[in-house]
Amino acid sequence: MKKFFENTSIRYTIFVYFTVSALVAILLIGVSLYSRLSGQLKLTIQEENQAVLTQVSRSMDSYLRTIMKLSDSLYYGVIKNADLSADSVNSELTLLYDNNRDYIDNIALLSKDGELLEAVPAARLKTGLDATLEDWFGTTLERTDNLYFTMPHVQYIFDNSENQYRWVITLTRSVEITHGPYTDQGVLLLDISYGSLQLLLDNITLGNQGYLYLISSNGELIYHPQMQLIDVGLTEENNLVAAGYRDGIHQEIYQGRQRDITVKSVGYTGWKLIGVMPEHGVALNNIKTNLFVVFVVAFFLFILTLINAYISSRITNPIQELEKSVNELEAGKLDTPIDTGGSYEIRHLGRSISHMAKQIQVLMNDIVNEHESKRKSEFDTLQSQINPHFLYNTLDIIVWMIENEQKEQAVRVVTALARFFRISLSKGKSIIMVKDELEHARNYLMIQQMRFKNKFTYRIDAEPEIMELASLKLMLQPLVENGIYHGMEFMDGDGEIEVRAYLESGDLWYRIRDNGLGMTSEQVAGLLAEHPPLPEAGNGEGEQPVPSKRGSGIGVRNVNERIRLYFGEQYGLSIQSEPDEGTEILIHLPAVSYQELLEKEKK
Amino acid sequence: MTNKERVIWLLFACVLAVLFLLSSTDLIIKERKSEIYSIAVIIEDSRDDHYVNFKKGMDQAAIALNADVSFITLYDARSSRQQMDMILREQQDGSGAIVVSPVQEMDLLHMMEQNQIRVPLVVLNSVRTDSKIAAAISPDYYAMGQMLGREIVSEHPLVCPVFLFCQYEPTGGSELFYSGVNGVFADYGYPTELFLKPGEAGFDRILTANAAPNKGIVVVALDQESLVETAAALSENSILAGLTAGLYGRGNGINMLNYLDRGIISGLCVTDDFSAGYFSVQYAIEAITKKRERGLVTLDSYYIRRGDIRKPEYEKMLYPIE
Amino acid sequence: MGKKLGTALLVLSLLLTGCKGGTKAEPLTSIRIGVSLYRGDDTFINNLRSVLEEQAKAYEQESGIKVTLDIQDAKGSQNVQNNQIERFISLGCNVLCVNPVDRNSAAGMIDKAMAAGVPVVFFNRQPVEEDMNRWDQLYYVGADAKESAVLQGTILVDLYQTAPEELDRNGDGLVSYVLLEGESNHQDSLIRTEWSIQTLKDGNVPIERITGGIANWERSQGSALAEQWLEAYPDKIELIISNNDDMALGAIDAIERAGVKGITIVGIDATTPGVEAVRSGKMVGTIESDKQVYAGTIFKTAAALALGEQLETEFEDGKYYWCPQRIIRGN
Repeated sequence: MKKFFENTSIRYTIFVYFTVSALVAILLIGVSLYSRLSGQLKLTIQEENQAVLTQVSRSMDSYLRTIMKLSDSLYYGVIKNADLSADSVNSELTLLYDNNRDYIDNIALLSKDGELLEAVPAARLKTGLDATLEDWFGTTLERTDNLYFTMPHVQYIFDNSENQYRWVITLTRSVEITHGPYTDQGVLLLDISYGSLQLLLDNITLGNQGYLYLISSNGELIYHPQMQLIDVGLTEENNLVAAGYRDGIHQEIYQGRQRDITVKSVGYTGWKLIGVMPEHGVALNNIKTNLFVVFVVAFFLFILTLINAYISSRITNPIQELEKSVNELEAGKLDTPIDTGGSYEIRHLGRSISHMAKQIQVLMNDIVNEHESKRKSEFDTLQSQINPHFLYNTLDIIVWMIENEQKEQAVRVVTALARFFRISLSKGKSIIMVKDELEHARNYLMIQQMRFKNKFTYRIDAEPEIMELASLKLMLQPLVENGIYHGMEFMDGDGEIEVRAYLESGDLWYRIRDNGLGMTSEQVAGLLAEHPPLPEAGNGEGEQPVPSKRGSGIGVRNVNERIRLYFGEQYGLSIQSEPDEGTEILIHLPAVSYQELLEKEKK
Repeated sequence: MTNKERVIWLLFACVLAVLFLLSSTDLIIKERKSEIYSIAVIIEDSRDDHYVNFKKGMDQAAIALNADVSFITLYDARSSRQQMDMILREQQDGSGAIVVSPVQEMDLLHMMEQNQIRVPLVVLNSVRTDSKIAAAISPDYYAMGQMLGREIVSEHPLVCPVFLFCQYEPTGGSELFYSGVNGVFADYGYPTELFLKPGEAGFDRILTANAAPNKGIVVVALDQESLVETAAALSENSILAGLTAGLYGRGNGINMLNYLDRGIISGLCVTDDFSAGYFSVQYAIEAITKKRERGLVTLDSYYIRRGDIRKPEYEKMLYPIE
Repeated sequence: MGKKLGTALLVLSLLLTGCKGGTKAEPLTSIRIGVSLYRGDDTFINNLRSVLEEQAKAYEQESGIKVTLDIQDAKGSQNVQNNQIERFISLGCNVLCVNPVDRNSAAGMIDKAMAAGVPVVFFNRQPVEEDMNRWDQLYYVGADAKESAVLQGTILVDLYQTAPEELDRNGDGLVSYVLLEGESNHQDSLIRTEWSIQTLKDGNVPIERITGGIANWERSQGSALAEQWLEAYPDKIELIISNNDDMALGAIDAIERAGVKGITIVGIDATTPGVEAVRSGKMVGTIESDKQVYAGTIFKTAAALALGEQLETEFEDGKYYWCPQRIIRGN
């Protein structure tokens, strides 16, 4: 994960972060709203279904009550008080029938022996039919206080028109019939038209694909929207199980689907109204609705992503521009213009980078210059390592000595010269031991002493501890040379040159003192000047210490420069001089052991 | 914005558009409710007297399965040519499927072989199957005949003459029924004789002409028309009734059941016509939509006597609730 | 070059012929008629229905226009009939023929038909005038009840005048009759009852009413009532006047069961079994409204309305057609 972020641009990172957070937000909102709404809808539908079921149940109750009341009216209002031997109850029965003909197909009064006493509308029993053999007949006469409902059946006992059959539910009760002085049992029969029940229960849908059906107390179907199909076997229903449920709401799994079952008992009859609502019948589970939700999520995501893309661009474009500029900088084009734009942090960054680029440029220029001068000095040094003039002169002296049979002196001079040049070269190294530098100066001084016929004396002192320290080569010789040529030339044997090397405050010091002519402060300044004023052409005037033709040829300035270049600005030469008194030159070097410096150089 | 990014945005926009079309418009996913299937039912007769229960099943299926069923009777009864013309006409008028009770099976097959029929066919009262027929719904007439024969033999253990009445020369279902019945009688040695309807006069003349002394004639009607006519004649004329030992046949009509109840008909072979009607519409719709073929579906036949009419297993079949 | 010219001419000629017919609307090649019967087992209605079907088929053969006749039985329930009307309209029927269950509740059906622009031909049971006046695309075909009754009475009057002993069996100078009535809320039963009797009175036939009863147009009920009366008034009944043939046949059933003879029976409708009964002498006469004309008018009107053609029949008040009726006598 971390690698991913490290490797992708800031723009994409911001974009991804924004998009992910937007997506998460949308999903959370969407999911919570959806589930809440879905749950709410489901609940609402369930409640509505319950309400519908309650309504239907009440209608059912009312329907049955009306019919039962009719039976009561027929009995208590008409039959009980009538003497059938005297009056005919037909008109009363007709009146009650007319008022209820929407529900009732037939009203009939039968005697205990199955004789049809009255029937409204006019009807007769089928020829040869014995009503007492009917199932309900015997049962009705036994249960004198009850109203007895049969299951739906085709009306059979009365004559029918040829092509007609009616489905009815027969309601019977035992009655007392008065014939003159005798009372006897009889049966009051009401044929309830099944169609009226169908009218009550048809076309009631509960929610989506829900329906209701009516069963008897032992589970037989009385009404079902697909009654005929179930009987024939084309569909099935779980009615037998439903008979076992108590009133209330149940869950059941039937034919692989889950459904909510609501059971409501219908009064008196023991019938049960069963409402079936399949679990999946909630409108929100439509494929189209689901797709719509997906669409909405995708759409908002799209919009938000667009906005994110725009915002992240706006923020990161300046960064990217900056990055591009930095790339160019890295490539080496230091003077590319840096765009500064965007938020203030980025502008600040831009300015800083621009500033830094410039600084780098300057520093690089400095380094280049430094290297240049170092190279020059080195080159000069290199060049000066072998100065022909000194060599010629010294060789002249040696020849003269040999011609004059001053063999030992000649040997000494030759030896000194050899040593002098050997150390001058020092195998090309710039750093030599203090010991060697002093040796180099001694040899030079010795030769010069002989040349100048002991015009001066010299002394070289050094503490033994400093011998192994590092020193820059060809420092003392030019200074001594300077001292000799500017100081000793006119001393006539009184000249003294003193070279001393010592440690002070942890640093290495050399002191070259002479009691020569000395210099004015201007001369001193000119000696050390960086860019010495050039001698005017053909003009030998001026007291500028032009590289002497007689010595090593390197100037004092060169020494100073080399010291400073090599060891740092804090080291170098300092010259003090009093005209006619003498000159003292101090060389300030760090005290570093030769070995150490050598190892450093190797690295 | 790089090209790759542009492509991705474009893709996303396309996906959005598709989702929108899918979910909020009807262009891709159509609401399925609006489909009403147009089905034509062409029978072999000019009157629908014997299709009452069938029509009830058909109507219920039509309402439940969203179909527009048009029940067509022929102008001239039993005219095969007219029936074939009718099939072509209905096909041309845009029927999605055709249910037909063919007058002549061969004519129908011929039309199919000639590739004249382009819509799914459901065939009634015929046991021929063909790759072009989506479903065939029929009782097993031969078995029905055998069943009836055996029942009659068991009710009339003493050999007596059997008259077989038919409107026309038995063809198709009637023929199979005939051979079924005849076969049983032949096995048991009952003499059978086939009588076709003698013009306008009824079968009663045949009975009076051929009355066997002291032996009741068992009359078996091979088709429904003959059964109704004979029953009506017997109910009017008690002398005729006296000549017969029993009247048997096949059919589902309420009038036949009434005759059965009154004892004029002794036994009846019935089939579940309501289911047949329901199935015919259901299979026709299946053939249109899912292209599923049901092959031959055989309806069960039952033999009922008077006492069976009110039994719960038969009651709803004989008297369908609508 | 020739081909191009040819095709151009062809296209031009097609365009021209197309233009000629372009002003009229395209003629229909098939019509769909929705028929709802108040009760499918009413014999008269059944007879009417068969004739209607025959007429439709004959028309199809002649004109080549396909007729889809959708006939449904309302089973005596106005609710069922309302549903049937809805279904007809949704299936695209061009015209409806309705035999309303409840003549007072035709408004619901009329509203639906009006909203859908589907004309309606009512028949046999007449909706109330206010409802008929709601729209000009409503028609009624029926038999004038008063005329039926008068004709029925005329049969008896004629019989009395030619052979009074046929009616007055017991010679007591009075024709004792019982009356079988149709549905109590059906205006036809009231009118028929009233005018039958009135015609007899006007024809100076001395009548005596023994009793009467409502048999709701049904044969079984007529049979039951007649049986009761035969028991209750043995040898007294000389004449049974019935508002329709079915009930009369029921009375005949009862008479045959009781084995009684010498009762005159008269009906209305001339249903097939009714005519049969007249021919066999069981009924003295019945009144026929020519079913061919009756069903024919219903069908032709419906077909014309469906095709948008001119109506052939003359409708009284632009709405009512009364079928011609005639007496059918036994001899």
